Amino acid sequence: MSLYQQVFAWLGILQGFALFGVLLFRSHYRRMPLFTLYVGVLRVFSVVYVLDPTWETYMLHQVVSAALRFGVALELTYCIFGGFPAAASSARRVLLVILVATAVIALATLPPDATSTRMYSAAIPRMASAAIWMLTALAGLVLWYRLPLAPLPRAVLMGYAPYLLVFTIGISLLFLPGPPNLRFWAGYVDPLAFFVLTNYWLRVAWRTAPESTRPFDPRGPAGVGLRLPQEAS
Amino acid sequence: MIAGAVVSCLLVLLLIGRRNERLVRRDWEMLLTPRGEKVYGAIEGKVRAEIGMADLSFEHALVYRELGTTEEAIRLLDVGYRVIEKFSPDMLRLLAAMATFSRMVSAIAPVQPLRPKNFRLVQVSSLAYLHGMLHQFVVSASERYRLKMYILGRSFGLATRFLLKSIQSLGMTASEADAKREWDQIEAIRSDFQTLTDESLDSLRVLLTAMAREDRQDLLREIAPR
Repeated sequence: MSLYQQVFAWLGILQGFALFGVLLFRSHYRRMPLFTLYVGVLRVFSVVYVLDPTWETYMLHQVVSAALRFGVALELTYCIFGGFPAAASSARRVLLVILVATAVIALATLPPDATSTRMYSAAIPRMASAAIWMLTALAGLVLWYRLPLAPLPRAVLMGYAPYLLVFTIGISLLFLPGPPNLRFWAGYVDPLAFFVLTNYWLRVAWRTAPESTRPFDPRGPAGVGLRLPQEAS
Repeated sequence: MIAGAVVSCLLVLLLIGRRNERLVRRDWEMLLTPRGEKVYGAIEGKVRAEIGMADLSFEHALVYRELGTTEEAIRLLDVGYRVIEKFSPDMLRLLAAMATFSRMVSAIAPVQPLRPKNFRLVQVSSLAYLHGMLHQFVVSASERYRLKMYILGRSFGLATRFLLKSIQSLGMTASEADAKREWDQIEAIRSDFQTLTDESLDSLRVLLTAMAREDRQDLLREIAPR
C-alpha cells in the first residue's frame, strides 16, 4: 500500500469507529444490531488488513463483509417491512429469488478448471451484485407499497447500494487484465466512496433520535387498532 | 448484469430520494390510526354533501323543465355540472389513493364487481360488464380491489363527460325529441353518480375494515400463548 492509501485507510477506519460509537451512543444498535455489528467488525478487519496486507487477510475481510452485508439486507427487510405482513411476505419471496438466481448464475458460469484466485475474483463482485439487487428490490418494494422509511434505514438503503455499485465496478477492474493506471485509480475509488458513505451514515446516525429508527407500526404508537366506523357508533 | 444493476438501482433510488417521507408517513398515520375513522367520516360527509348539492340542482332543473322554464332549468344544470366538475377530480384522487393502499392489505374482504343493472347510462353499464369479465381473470382480492378502483375512476370520468355533453346539447338543440333524450340522459347520469359514489364509499369502508382486520390478527398472534 502506498502512503496515500495508508493515510486514507486509517482515516476511513477512524471514521468507521466514530460511526460505531455513534450507533452505540445513540442507541441505534437496539433497532439495527446487525448494521452496528457490520460497522464495528468491518473496521476491525480493516485494521487487520492495514497492519497485515496479505491476500489471506483481504479475502477474510471480504468474506466477513459479504456475510454481514446479507445480514444487513435482512435486517433492513425486518426494519422496513416489520409492521406490514403482506409487504414483508413479498419482500421475503423477492429476496429468496435473488439469492437463488445469484447462486445458480455463479455456479453455472464458473469454469470447472478455475483457479482459486479466479474463483474469488468472480465471487466477490457477484456477492456484491446480489446485495445490490437485494437493496434495489427492497427499495422498489418500498416505492410500490408506499412504505414509510425511518431516517437510518433510509440512509442505509440510499447509501449502500450506490457504494456497492462503485465497489463492484472497482473490484472488477482490479481483477481484469488491463492498463495498470486504471487498476491504480480503481484502488483509490473504493476507499474514497466508502469514506463518503460512512460520513453520510455518521451524520444521519448522529442527527437521528434512537426512537425514530423503530420499525413503523401501522397500529400507531399505542398499538391501538383502527376502530371501524360502524363499531364507533 | 452490472449495467442492469446500475440503471435499475439508480432509478429506484432516485425515486425514493425524491419522495417526501413526511407526506408518506402522514398518509399512513391518517389511514391506520384511530384518526382514520375521523378521516372516513370527513370524506363521507364531504362526498355526500357535494353529490347531494349536485343532485339538488339536477332535481330542481327537472322541476323547472316540467314547469316549462327551460332557460332556468339549463342554468341549474350548469350549476350542478360545476359542482360535479369540482367533485370529480377529488373523487379520482381518493380512488387512486385507495388503490395504492390496497397493495398493503393481504386480507381484503371479497370484492364484489359492479352490477351493470345498477347503472342507467349505457357506457357506464358496459364498463360494469367489462369489470365483471376482468374480475374473473384477476386472482387476488387486492388486485380485484384495484381493478374496481380503476373502473370506478373511469366511470366517474365518463359520466362527467356525458353530463357536459348533454348540457351543451340542451343549449343548442331545437327539437323536443332531442331535448327529451338529453334530459333522460341527465336523469340517468344523476342516478349513476349516486351509485358510483355509494360504491366508492363502500370500497373505502372495505379497505379500512381489511386494514383493521389485519391489525387484529397481529394482536391475536401477539397475545396467543407460546
